Amino acid sequence: MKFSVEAASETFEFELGGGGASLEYKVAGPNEVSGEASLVPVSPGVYSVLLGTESITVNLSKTEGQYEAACGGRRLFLSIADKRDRAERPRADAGSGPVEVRAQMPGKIITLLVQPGTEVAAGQSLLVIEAMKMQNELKSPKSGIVSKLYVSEGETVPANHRLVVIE
Amino acid sequence: MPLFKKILVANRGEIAVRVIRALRELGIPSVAVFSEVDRAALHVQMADDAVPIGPSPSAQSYLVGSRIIEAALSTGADAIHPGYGFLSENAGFAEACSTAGIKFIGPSWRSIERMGSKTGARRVALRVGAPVVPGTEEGIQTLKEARTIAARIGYPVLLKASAGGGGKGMRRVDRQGELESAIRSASSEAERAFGSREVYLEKLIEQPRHIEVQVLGDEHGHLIHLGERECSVQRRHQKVIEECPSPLSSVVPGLRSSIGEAALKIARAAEYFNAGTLEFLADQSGNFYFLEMNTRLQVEHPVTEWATGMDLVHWQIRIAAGERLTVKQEHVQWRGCAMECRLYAEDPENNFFPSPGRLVHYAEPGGPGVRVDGGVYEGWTVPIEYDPLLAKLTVWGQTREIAIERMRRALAEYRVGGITTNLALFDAVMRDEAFRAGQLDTGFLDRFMRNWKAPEMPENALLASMIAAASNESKLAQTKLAAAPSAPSAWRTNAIRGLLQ
Repeated sequence: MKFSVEAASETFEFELGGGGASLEYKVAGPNEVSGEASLVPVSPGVYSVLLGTESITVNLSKTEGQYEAACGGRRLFLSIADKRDRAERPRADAGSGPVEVRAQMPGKIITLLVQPGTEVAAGQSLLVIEAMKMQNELKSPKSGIVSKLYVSEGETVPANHRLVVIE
Repeated sequence: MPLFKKILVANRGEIAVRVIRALRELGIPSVAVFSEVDRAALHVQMADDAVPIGPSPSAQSYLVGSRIIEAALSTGADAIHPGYGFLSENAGFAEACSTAGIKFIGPSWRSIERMGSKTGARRVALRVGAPVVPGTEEGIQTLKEARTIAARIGYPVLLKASAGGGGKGMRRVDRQGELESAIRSASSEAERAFGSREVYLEKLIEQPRHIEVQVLGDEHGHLIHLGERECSVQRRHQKVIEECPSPLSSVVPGLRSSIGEAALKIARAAEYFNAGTLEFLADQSGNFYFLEMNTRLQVEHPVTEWATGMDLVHWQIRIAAGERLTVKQEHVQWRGCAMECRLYAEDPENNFFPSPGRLVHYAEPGGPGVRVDGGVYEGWTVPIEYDPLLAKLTVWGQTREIAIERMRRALAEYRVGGITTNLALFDAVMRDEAFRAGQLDTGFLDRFMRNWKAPEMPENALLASMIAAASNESKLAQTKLAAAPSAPSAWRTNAIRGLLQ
């Protein structure tokens, strides 16, 4: 499963597969990190994590949708979004009419994967945006045709900037 | 025959828990008192009986002596242990206890009265020839008088509240032009904090160390000292890390016996009994000056207990019951190094702003050489009304180096989630070169904080946190977290700011 994780004022594209004692994780980006991990809940909100053989205990709590992780005397706040959920989340006008795709964070457009007129399937990647050194693929919320493209490669956009319209 | 039938503990938090533990060890039933917000507090759970004494503000509960004495009478307690803070140094309360036929566990109310005022304590010290910081013996009456005295002892000088402590009503004055406004603000701060405007003047010792001496005496005239404690790591005159012995003791031979002897001279002159602490300023060559006396058990008493092997709270109770202190001065021995860190609910990254709230996670360290005096538990909501001290982490090591490494180990085991604490700061201090070399003075922490940046979470800890959070978020999770109650609301944050003003 893919997640978008905001932590330590950075956004990470994070992938987690498998289950229980044999998880596979991947943090996308220029310095991609991946490996195997094991995770066992030891008491409510307390997780024993083995990163390879490195043993780390994480105390986790969730308040108003935000996670707090306490680990080795430090505290950290994490916001986490399930990317599939976000892609599949029905818009008010999903299925009919045009849908605007906007930038979720300020960033730089690295690659355009579509042009006006390109036919796309739901979940297909539209463009790659980079923010705080992490690259993030924006996916189409629905099947349709790219009717408008507001940005070009190399352009820097603010948060909530209009990127693409799918009809 | 038991020492007492039952003892009421007129306090809350970690010190109430500490005293209740001693009472259980001595086979004496305990009575806790609690304010509205403390109904579920740890000390209430641990005591044999518990009595409500009023609303949450301490002025309407923990500071109302009459209600506490009533609680003692109604539960059949024949003694009261006041802990520290609250009514512990209130001579009127100690006298009221004795009038009600209840033994106050501490010195006589006359000693409290004599030594509780800084100017009074200073007069006693001068009388017996103990060294004091040059300055006024009386509160300042006029600006002209203050100017004359300040000029005589030389700037910089320090203004202090006669009735105070903890840095309230205290001002550094570097030149005559600053004197008038400093007196005005120190006086009004003193009035707000202690109900008395009286302030006095003394010479400011540059780069001073704060070193204090623990004394213990019985009611038959036998008085001993249990050595010194180094308390120089402080912020706004609030101690943060304490240790026994002082690192200065290994540099200045004979310091312990000379400062101990000075402390005993003063305490004897005050006809002092039970536990007490005499605070001194010392310069880096070991010259020391008596500052004031705390006529009660001290927050940092565990480091002395560990280095000397004596249980101060046990002795306080036995002495109050009329027992003789069987330990002679020549029997007191100091072993290794004991060090204490005060865990506060406050944010060192945000100017030590108090951070009360719910302790979503709380697990104390353990293992060899570790002692935790805590007053909280997982799930407890730290109230905004009181001191934000959560617990004291004390370690012992055969040498100071071992104690420091053991402290780092114990700090790493400490788990606190839900509120911000100063835990991360301690680890950084333990790694500091000057601290490790024992090069301390009361300005140490302020200097340290200027260069301090909160450490980032190590990369793998961040990764492990992401895995745990993502797993909890995903359908893979075997057990999901229950949503915690919401963060402190705006009114609460505003209330804290209000308290700070």
